[in-house]
Amino acid sequence: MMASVDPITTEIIRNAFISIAKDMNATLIRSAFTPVIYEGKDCSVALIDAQGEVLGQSLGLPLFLGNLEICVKLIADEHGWDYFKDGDVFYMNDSYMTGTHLNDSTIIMPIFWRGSRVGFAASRAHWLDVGAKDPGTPVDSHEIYQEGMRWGPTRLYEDGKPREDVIDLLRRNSRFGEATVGDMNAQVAAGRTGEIRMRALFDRFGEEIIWAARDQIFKQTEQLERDAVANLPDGTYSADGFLDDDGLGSDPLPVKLELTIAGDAMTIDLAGSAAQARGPVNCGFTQTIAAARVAYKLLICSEVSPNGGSFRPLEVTAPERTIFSAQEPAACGWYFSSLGLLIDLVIKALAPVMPEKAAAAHYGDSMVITVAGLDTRNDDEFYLMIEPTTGGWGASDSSDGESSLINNVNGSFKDIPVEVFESKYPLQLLSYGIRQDSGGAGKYRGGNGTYREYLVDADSDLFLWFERSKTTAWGLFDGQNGLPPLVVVERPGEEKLELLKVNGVKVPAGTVIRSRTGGGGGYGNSYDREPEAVRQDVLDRFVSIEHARSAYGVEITSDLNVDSKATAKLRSA
Amino acid sequence: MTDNTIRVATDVGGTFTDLVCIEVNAATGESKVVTAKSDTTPPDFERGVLNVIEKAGINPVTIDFLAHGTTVVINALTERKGVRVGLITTAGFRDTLEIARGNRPDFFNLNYKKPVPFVPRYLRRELSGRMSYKGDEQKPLELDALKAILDDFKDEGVEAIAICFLHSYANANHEQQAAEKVRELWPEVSVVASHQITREWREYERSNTAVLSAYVQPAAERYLRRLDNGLKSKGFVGSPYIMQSNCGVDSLQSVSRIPITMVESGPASGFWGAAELGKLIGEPNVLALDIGGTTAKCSLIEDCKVRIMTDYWIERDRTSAGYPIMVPVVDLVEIGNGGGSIAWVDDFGKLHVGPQSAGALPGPAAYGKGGTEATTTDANLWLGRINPAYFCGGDVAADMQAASAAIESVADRLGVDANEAARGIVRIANNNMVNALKLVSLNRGFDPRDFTLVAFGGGGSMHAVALASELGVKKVVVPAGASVFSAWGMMLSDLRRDYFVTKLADLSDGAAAGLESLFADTEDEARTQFAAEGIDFDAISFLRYGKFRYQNQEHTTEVLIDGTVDEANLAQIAADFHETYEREYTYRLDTPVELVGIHLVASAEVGKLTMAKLPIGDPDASRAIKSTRDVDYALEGTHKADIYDGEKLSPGMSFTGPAVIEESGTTVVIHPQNRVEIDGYGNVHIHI
Repeated sequence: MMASVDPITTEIIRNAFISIAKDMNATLIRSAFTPVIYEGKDCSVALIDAQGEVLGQSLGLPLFLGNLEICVKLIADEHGWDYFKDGDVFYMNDSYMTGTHLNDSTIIMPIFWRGSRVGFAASRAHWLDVGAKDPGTPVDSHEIYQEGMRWGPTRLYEDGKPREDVIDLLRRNSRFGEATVGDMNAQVAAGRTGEIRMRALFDRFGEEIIWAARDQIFKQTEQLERDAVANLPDGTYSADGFLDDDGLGSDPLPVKLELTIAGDAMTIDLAGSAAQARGPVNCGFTQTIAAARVAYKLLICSEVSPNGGSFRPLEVTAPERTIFSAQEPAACGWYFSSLGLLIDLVIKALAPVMPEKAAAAHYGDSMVITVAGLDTRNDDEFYLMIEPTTGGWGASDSSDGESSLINNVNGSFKDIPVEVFESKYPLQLLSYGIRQDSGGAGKYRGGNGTYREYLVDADSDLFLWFERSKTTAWGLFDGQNGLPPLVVVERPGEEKLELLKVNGVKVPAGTVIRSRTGGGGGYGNSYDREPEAVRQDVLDRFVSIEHARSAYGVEITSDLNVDSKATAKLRSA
Repeated sequence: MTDNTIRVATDVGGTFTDLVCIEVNAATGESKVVTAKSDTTPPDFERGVLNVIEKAGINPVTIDFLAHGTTVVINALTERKGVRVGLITTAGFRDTLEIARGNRPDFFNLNYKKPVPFVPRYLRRELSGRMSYKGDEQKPLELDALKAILDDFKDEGVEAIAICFLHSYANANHEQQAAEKVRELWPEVSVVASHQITREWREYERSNTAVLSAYVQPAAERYLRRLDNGLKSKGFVGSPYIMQSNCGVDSLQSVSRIPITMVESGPASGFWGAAELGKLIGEPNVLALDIGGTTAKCSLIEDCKVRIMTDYWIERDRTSAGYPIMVPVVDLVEIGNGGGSIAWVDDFGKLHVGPQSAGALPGPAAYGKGGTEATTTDANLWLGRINPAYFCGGDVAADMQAASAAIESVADRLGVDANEAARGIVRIANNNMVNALKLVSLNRGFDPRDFTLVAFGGGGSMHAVALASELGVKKVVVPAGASVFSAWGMMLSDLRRDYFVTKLADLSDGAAAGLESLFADTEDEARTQFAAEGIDFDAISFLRYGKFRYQNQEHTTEVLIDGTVDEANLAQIAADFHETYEREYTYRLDTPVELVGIHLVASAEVGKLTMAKLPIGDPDASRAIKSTRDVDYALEGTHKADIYDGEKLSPGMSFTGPAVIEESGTTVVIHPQNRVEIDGYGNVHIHI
């Protein structure tokens, strides 16, 4: 007989699960060593029950939605649940298990209370360098062995004590050994926070009440989601697009999905998407599930905190050995580009039946720039600057898209302040702003992309991973597409280079790197946009006078007023 | 008359302007307390202040010390009632204010919108010129373009100008030049440069701070000037001290220059009061809890010291990144849970309390002013914790019919009976507050069991015991005059300024001289500022904090530094850092430690109130009992409780719960088995 629990206690326990996860994440972020974690928030934590279901989760990165528990279950599948002992701390980064690249460290700690295992505290965080052939994450790898050291589930702690030999191995296999161990400590500290809080919760309510509350919470969540899915018309919806290439100069790679709503269930099938690629654009299926969950969450019960009852109506399928279901030895360094596109495509597929919830596509990818070299200001110490770039988001049926906002697989990311950036790296920023005319025109305008321009002060190497130039942000319901990204490199005394992806081009001191990210798609016909709204955009220089004319059919005079007559003529032409 | 010292504190709130006056007889040490309330009078808030002084029967000529707190700044910000601002910034970076940090906190919202910048793009203008991160000039400032920019600003109706250049924390010269030139070209316009407010890095946060400061400056300046003139015209001979967000007061003249520092002055004075109270009663470690009508705020005080930070944001929540204001603000957590917070059941049958509040109008259902939604106050009435016959100090007849209807409606939606629903509301509200208290304690590595909970504000003492039990706190103190505690705190405040300066340096051999001179220079700057306002050198005291981290980390940990920094005590500083770090993060590292900046507190006493202790009398409290009634303690069930008249409690009295103390403006709920003592200052100590 299950213990019964009153609704108030259930609510208090639900809040406790969520706040424990938040506390864990706060510990992780505040004690981390690399900006990728403390500013980029490339991390997530979860509090998980004894059977591997999520109780509470706190994400730095939406893309890590609901994949930590899969890692726990994978370990249990292989070794059984009794494999987890009190005082253990596990580390793993195998892309085919975790789904992501080797840089992402997954750390799992079983939590024991009065001698029995009651759950897990788990976290994932991006480590700057795990000993790949090139610093950070190589752009041109074609086997996982080039991307760093690959670990199955391995104990970092046993019986509560660190295994110094194993930790030493981690340290020796990174270009930034100390920071790696620092970030590992931050993850372990996050786990400890979870453990302490979880035990306190058990002390207060006891096992029976907590599990009864959990069952209630899961049941409610599942029912809500089933109701929401059942509200959508049954049918099959599809969408497709292309990745530019695999990073090694391949042809564009198709991403194709078929989404079926049948009653209260949703299936996303990825058949027809590109086969496992030679370049590092593959990901493990675990991560594909997580990405599909992000898309689902953007549309279904968005405001409810995810837990073990979430996603039960969703099934994701893909044939073996595609870019979404990679197997050894596929390279996975840039595992997320196809996933950002997949998320956008799910929204596109469902837009006709959810026009008020959907939005036009966003600029699409993390747009990562990496500069590495010896810092001449600092005794020639090796430095590695990696940062994603913001861009434009898609418009919706009630508002313009946002400009210069981080992409859909990221979320809590914060850009590095110029003042911090310049003190940290031998690079200066010349400008950082909102890119005019880059958002797709529409009744509601797509958000504009971003420009960020760097001056290199010490001879260095440049690595770029800019995507979505072929399938740019599409408009919806007659809205226009946003502009693609572009990076221009001006080296002293040499021809300009126009690049999107590159692995280690030499950039001597004095080089200027000008990055431009894409804009979001527009929503609705641009000729339906209020001329006054266009004028305001021109006043703010978000839209040029020429673009106002060509894309919106609005004539703006030199003193920045709407020429109504000319506008009427343009729009009726 | 001359024997007596009269101190007055006035506090302008959203609805009422409060006054507390304490008159101390120099010969006997006896004090007389007068409180008064009058309507707040927007937009001429100073009128309400003069009214309340008159209403209290105080002749301004006799006032020796006047402290003043106001919500004028925060209201101007949240109601968007400031002026049109133009921003001047470094060439290439006018979008800093709009890009903000590029983050998207509401992950699963395809339509996430950033907070709209307070200055639209066409009023954000650039000047060429550049400083390096070390503060070296890389490119001189070109001021030629300024004239045309100011002409545009005039055409566009700009009334205040904010200036923020990159790396001005390291070298303010360009900002100074630009500000000077603006004053020369356009003397009437209000202008503020970011370095005048903060010397910390992070350009978005600093720009936004300068912009928000400029936005409220004309109105705040005008208000302070009128207040000063109004008081003078009534015969007040001094100058009022203005409450700041850093728990200190500052001179009117100084606040008029940078009024944004008043932004969180309301809660600050209460937390300062809690720290001072702790000192007085020998409780150096305090969890301070202030529950008002719409929110509950809490802060942790360790070793009698309030924690001041510059990581303050307005309008930041789960769905919005909010706006940063980089000024010294007492470290507090605020949640939307107060007496007027509305209880509601969502579509999924879950009970919530707040953050929506019934406000002053209609207020809780029991106010009988048309409110139909159940609030925390209604639940407390239903459960017998508040006396319907002594509602709001007997000023309002509680409309129990309306309260019952509201509770019943929640009960129906939850599918439980009304008692269960009322208990549920109190439990959920308590749970929200417990989480807030954990954020300021457990999350920073402090064990709440080592702290005393000091509860004030209208609702603090109603919930304090339940919260304390849950957190394992052993003692709750409800200060005498808990409902006007903030004003009391103001009278105990020092003149205080917090200086935060960013400066990167390794904490290694040879670092001492640099660190010492940074402190010394900042102290000189502080002394010069204080001296200009007639404060004696000797009256100024300093507290030095270093902000440290392990090399390559981002977040810093603050460490108190005792005395002069020299090579000999560097090791001690590092050891203190390791210890503080480990407490907060559970581990320490054998990695080099880096200084990121300093935090210097400069303070001087200005006519501070000293409290006199009354003799301890008979412990028998029975003569203060006015009745008994059934009180529902939620988790502990219903008990017959003794009801005490707070006015009749005197030092030394002692009794045991279940009990309730009723006093005008405050109800103290004492659970079964709690032992209560009244100390020599009239504070209520509850042992749990």
